[in-house]
Amino acid sequence: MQASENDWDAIYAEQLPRVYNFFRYRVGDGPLAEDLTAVTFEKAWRSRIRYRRYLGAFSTWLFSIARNVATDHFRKNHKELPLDNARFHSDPTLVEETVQRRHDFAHLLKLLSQLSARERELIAYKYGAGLNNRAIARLTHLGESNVGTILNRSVNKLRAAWEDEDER
Amino acid sequence: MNDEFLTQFREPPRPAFAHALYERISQEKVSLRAQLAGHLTLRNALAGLVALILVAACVYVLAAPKWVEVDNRLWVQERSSGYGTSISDLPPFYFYASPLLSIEEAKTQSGFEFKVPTWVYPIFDLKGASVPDMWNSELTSGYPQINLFWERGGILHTPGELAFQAFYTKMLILDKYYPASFGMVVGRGSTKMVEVNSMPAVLIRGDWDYNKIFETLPSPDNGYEWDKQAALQLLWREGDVVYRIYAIDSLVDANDLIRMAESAR
Repeated sequence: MQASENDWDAIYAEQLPRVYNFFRYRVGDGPLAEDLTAVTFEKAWRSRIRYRRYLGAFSTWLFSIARNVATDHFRKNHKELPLDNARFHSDPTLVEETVQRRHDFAHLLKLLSQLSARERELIAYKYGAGLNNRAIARLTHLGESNVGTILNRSVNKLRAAWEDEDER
Repeated sequence: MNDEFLTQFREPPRPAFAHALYERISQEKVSLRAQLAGHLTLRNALAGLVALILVAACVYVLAAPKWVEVDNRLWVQERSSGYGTSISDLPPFYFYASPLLSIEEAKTQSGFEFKVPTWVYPIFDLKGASVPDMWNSELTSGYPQINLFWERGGILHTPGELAFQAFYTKMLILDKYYPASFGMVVGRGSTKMVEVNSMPAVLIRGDWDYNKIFETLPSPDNGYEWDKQAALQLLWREGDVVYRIYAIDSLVDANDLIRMAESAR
């Protein structure tokens, strides 16, 4: 079965925030995350005829497109996290809470940039897009337990760094 | 695992962005629909029609009966199933009668002139003839007919192992005879055109499984099958008489049947 037009609206509403956050956790806030999200959905719409329901969940298929879009982007730009860009987009006119939130997210992105590419990718799937370990394993062709191990190690590293910063 | 510090930064996309992207994709939906409609009316519709015609042609070629016209009043039709088999196609041994008549008696009773083979394969002995009663027998084809029977000498013989039939192909309608064509339904791929004294004839390898047919008479099922080993038949016409030689003995081959046919006087 293919994704019909009727399905599409529901898929769009459900998956757009997840894909968008996946890219935010990869490239930070700002127009770039929106652009990559848009490219992903446009590609998915054009190639929806190739989606076969029996081969897996639509979200897995959609995120395999997102993964390719991200790979293309990093291949062209050679830079995973435009941290300066993320900071730059913190709007000084925003209320203090928002400014703090932006600052914290920029800090998280900086910590993420210290992880390996694979660790960053898995963190973005898990905590940006909210995918479970099984779906991540399918996307990345890793074993499910392997995904769990890498995520656990990455989160421990991030937490330690995050708490260090808090104590300072 | 406390990972709130990681999940707390999830945000919904800006509504303006979400709306603009949706609109962009929706426009593509419209153009795709138009594109599809264009394909349907032109290339796709034409390709579909051609494919349909090709499929129909293939089905027809594979399933349709094949007509083999021996001459203008004698035909056989090859079919993949026995549907349409008529009583005139029955093997001659269904007309075996006891006591059998002599050939002279058969000629007198039949009411039409027919030839008789002067040569048969030497292991066979002429046993006699039968002339089915068109008015009182259930097994008659509507054509006046005679049947001559030979049997192999010895203990293991079967009535009608070798038979010669003559059908007077004038159909009796009310009290008059009218010219009629004679035809048989046979299995697919069972026929071969040959000649008997330079006249067209058809050699037929096999026969229907009549055990099944007779279980379902008077409305035979469509499911009975052609058995290529059942018999060897030769069919030809001379004037108003159609002849058939029917052999169920594997010692007799096509050349024997043709020689026997050509010896008819």
